[in-house]
Order: sequence, then structure tokens, then C-alpha cells
Amino acid sequence: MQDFTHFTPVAALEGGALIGLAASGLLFFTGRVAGISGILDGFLRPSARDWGWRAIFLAGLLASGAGLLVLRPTALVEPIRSLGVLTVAGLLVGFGSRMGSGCTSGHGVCGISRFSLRSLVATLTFMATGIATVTLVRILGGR
Amino acid sequence: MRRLASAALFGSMFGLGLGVSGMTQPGKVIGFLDLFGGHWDPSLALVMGGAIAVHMPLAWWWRRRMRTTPSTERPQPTETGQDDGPEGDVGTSRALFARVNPRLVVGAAIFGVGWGLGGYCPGPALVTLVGFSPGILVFVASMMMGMWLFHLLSGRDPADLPSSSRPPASVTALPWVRGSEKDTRKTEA
Repeated sequence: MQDFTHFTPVAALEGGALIGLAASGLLFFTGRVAGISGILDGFLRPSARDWGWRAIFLAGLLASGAGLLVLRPTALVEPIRSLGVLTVAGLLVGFGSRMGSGCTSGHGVCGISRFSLRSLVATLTFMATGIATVTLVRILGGR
Repeated sequence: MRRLASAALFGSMFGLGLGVSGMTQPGKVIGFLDLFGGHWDPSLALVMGGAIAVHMPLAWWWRRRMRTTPSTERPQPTETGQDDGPEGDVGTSRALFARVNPRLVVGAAIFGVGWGLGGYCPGPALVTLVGFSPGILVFVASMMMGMWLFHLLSGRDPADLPSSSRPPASVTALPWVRGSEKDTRKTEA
């Protein structure tokens, strides 16, 4: 059983600042918004004219996972849900991110940072349904 | 070349940030979303808040500078990670307001359910992929499938934008129909 009670404010702020710096650097040097679902989506359709850029960004993301294995191995853990639940979760995350034009990074970080009302609405919406889902799963004894 | 090097650098910095912040641990994500469980973990709010606190002023500064730079010298802000051309939204708050439409809200709602079920959003899932655990492979594969399904079902028809709130043609061009987007630009120019 995981321990859900560890609040890690310092690590959270450090990591958050790194995420903000990375999003800013990407914007400065490429003019792109660091929305992971959109980048992945474009990568999956090789006809996109900026495919190479997306591929390399994603490669960097994967490489960071390897870096974390060395620098902070506790960061990488096994999923805590069953394969069946993860299948459904993945489908919903993928579908919803495209229908809603963004995910936690594109809407939650980048969108809110540029005062986008769309992104604020999207972020509040997915937080609300996320909270509802987790609450329901707990009540139904899924954890 | 500089563009590709930046993509590599900032892609890995982004992933490191996700890992350091704890967001690659689904338990912490679910701990945040479990608002009423009695052991709420507010870390995710600080991650997002920290990222916004850094990115907001820098992005504001960058956009202000872009507005005063001749358009030929700008890095072209085209369709982006957010996939609906957020760069084009700058300064058109009225158009933005109109674009809060059912598609956005329903999509975000579906995303949230998946997020709460698995404890993963796309970034952390990709960072965790190096572990090659069956669970994360299954999640990422079905996430890609979900994206593909959306495109399959939505087709090329921009009719899912309500006509009352339909933004100018250059914006309606569906982001995944690259050709139409380019064509629109050409005819407008």
C-alpha cells in the first residue's frame, strides 16, 4: 500500500520551477507551448511538418526518465492500478486530451500562465472530475 | 539546429521536473485528487503553482517582446502542444471567452476521469516509460489509442465547434488537418 500522506512541498516547488523553466525555454527558443499531449499527438502523425522537433522533445522526455533512475530513483515507481484499470484510464486520458485540446501541462501550466480562460476552465474541469473519480473509487473500495 | 537542440534540452528538463516534483508517482497524484479521503496531499498544487510562478512572467515577457518584433524575424508560433493555436489567442480575450465550448469542457472532463483512475497524465506516463513495467506500457499504448480514436471519430469536420462561437476561419482550421490550416493562411495573406 502506498503512503499518500507525505506532503513534499520543497520537492514539489523545485520540480515545478524546473517545469516552468523548461516550458519557458521551449517558448523562447522554438515558439512552442509545452503541451505534452499535443506534442505526442503530432508525433504520432508523421505527416506533421514539424515532426522532427516533436520526436526530439519526446526523446528528451524519455531520456529524463533514464536520468531519474540515476539521480532520483525513488521518482520512478510502478503503477498502482491494475492493467484493466490502466487500459481504461489511458484511453480516457488520450481521448479526453485531444477532445479538450490539452492536458495538465498544456492547459494547467502553459495555458493558465498566459491567462487563457479556456485553459482555466479545462483545468478546473479535469480537476473536478479527477477528484470525483478518485472519491468514487475510494468509496467503492477500489483502494 | 538550435531548435532541435532546444527541444532535446527542454524536453529532458521538463521530464526531470516532473520526476523531481513527485508527479511521476501516481500515488501522489491520486493523493492530491483524493480531497475528501482525510489524507490530502497538496503537493500537486505546489508543482503547478511553482511552474506557473516561473512560466507566467517569462511567457508574458516573451510575448510582449514578440509583439514588437517584425513578424518575419519571429519564431513562427503555429499550432502548438496545446493544439489549438494558443499563440493566436493573445490579445483576443473576447474570442477566447467565446471558445469555451462544450467540446473543451467534455474533453477535459473525460481526461480528468482517466487521470483520476490511473494517476497518470501524459507527461509523467512518458517519463515513467523507461521502467518498462507492464502497467505503464499498457497505459501509454491505450493513451495513444485514445488519441487515435478521437481523430477517427471526429474526422475532418470542424462542425463540432458551435456556429455561434465559431472563431475566424484561420482559427477554426482543425489543428490535425495541417493542410487546411496552411491553405487558410495562404488565402488570407
